Amino acid sequence: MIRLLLLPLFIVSLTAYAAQERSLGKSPRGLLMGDAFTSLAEGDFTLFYNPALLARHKGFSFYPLNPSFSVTNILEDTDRFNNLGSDPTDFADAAFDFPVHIGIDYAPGFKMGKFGLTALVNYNSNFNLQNQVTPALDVDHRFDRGFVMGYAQPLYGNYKTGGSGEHLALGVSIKYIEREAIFGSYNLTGYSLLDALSQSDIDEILNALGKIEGSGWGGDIGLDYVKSSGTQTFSMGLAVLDFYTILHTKKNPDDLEVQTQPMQVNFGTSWQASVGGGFDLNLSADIKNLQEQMELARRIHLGVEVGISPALSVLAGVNAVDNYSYGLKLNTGLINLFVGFYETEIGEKLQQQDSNRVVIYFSLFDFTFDP
Amino acid sequence: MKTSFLFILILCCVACAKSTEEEVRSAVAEAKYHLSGMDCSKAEDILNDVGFQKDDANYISVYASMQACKAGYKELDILFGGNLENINSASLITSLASFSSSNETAPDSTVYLSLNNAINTLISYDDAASGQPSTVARNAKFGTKKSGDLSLQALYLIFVQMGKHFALYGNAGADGAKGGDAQGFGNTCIYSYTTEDAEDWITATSPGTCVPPLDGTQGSDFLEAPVGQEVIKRRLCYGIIYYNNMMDILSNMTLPGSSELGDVSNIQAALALLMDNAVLAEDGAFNDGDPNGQDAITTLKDITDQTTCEAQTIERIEKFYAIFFESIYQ
Repeated sequence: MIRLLLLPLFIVSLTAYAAQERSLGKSPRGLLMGDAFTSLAEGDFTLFYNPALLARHKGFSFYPLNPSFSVTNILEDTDRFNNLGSDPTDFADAAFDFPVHIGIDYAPGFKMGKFGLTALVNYNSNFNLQNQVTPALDVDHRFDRGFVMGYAQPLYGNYKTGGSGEHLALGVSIKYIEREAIFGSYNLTGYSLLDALSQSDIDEILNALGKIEGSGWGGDIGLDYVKSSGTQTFSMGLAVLDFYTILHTKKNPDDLEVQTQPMQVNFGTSWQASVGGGFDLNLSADIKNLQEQMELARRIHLGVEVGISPALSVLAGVNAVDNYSYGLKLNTGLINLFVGFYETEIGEKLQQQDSNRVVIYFSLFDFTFDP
Repeated sequence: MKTSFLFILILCCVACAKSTEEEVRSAVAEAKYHLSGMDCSKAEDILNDVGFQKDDANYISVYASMQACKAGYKELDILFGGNLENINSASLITSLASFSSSNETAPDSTVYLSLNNAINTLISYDDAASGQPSTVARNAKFGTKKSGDLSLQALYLIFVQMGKHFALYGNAGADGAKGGDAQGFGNTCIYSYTTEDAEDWITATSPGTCVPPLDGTQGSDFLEAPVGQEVIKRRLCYGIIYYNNMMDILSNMTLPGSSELGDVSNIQAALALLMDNAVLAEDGAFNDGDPNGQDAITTLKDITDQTTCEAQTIERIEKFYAIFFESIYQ
């Protein structure tokens, strides 16, 4: 069984290296647990982590309204922008090595038995001013739209969320993505950026910066093993995301290629204990990006969630040695709310540069019907 | 269970290596990170690790940044902190020599040579058939946008370097004017002219502080014996190459309409006219002396490569300085 779980590890192939993970959707709960979520992603973000977890689902679940917003946490470094002079160079000095992030995710969807479908609307813009000699603004902007749908089938055993049992399940999903992207490094005082900024409207500016569009189909595959006594649950999963996701670029004047959606191989494990009365404990660990050559410590993600009551949970995590995350979950029945802070590694090498962010998520009117 | 974790650990160690293209992209990104902290040597090590990428405009740009880093050059501080807005197309070299960075006290300093290396890196890898760096060739090789970025990066460096060059050899004053003697070098001309046509020009026009009678002592001590002839040629050619590449860039790229660039867009028209006048001037009475110095302006005005310049006679180089640089820099 274990060997079967590990089989896909041997069929991985080369993928593009990206210092910053290029995901299609991130669960705020996962982010606040150090992004150690491969074996825990049972809610509305299952199809972004491991399609095999669909096998744990029963009944009908609907997630109609679940936006999340993430931005740079400027509270982490307020001194940087104090006493800014009036000169543009003063502002540039403050902006050096201070990555800026704006993200909006919206992933409405439903699950019916072991089938799931999720729409994906993912807006991500990242800016990073580097190089004091010749200041260069790194721009990584993506606006993805599409959907992911998947199905999982237990290979043996039977387990459903909240119950007891054991299973090993295989899940697959297919996805369609339309991507609008700008990806490049622009000298702050260089021809490309100054020329773009001299255009009259925002569309012309974005086009001059190299905005391109692409679309295509892709797929994920995953395995999920769970063993639960009802009060204690152990699980582990392996997900090969975007093992074949090809985006075709629309014709553009500069012959640029739209950013690819690279394959990602993640292994995750978790242990959950419930003592009743809403008090429960989740511990999780992921080893990510097995397909890439990188520092071992950078792959490791650890998370913990402590349920204090059915309405309140505390979440925390760590990834890449010193990137911490923490936050709260508040569940009022009608509204499910996550608020917290997280850090993510964006440098080329471990501990070189990270981005501190705030995430706010709410889910309205989601329900599960289990006849 | 132990076996499964062992498998994963092994996989962590043997996972796919980055492709060469990804290695270069990663090295460039990491070098930029180190240049944010002005850590030039780390940036250099990382860029050298992947080998020089002569066909990658991003790599060339960051490599030149790394070289300029060794000069302590910060584009925003030096140019956009006030100097660039003081550029005056009507008296370009004086305005460049008045830059706060025009403060060389000796020739061939580490700062000066580092900036020279950065400029060469930016202009040299254009695959031009002529062997002369050319904006047109860069456009053809890298495309207008990437080439424009390289050219503008080079142009900023050239402004700073020309300011250093002429302030040093022209003995500029605090206002950048030639012979102003801010550093106490004492010279009133850039060079001590001995070629007949060059002397005739200075005698006839008395450009700025460079006035007759010429007795061989008016020029910079850094450009005369005991300094060797080859070194003198090299130093003089630096100025010619900076100037010619500046004009090549300004003539062959459309500057973006940014107020930050001040009077830069007027430089080309103003100086092209002066060069035309110099060509006409040389055509008559100032081209009948030493044959080694004849046709200096027409020969040197299009040379953008240092080696080619140094292959010219010292008489021509001297005459170019006398007729052109002494005239436009006063």
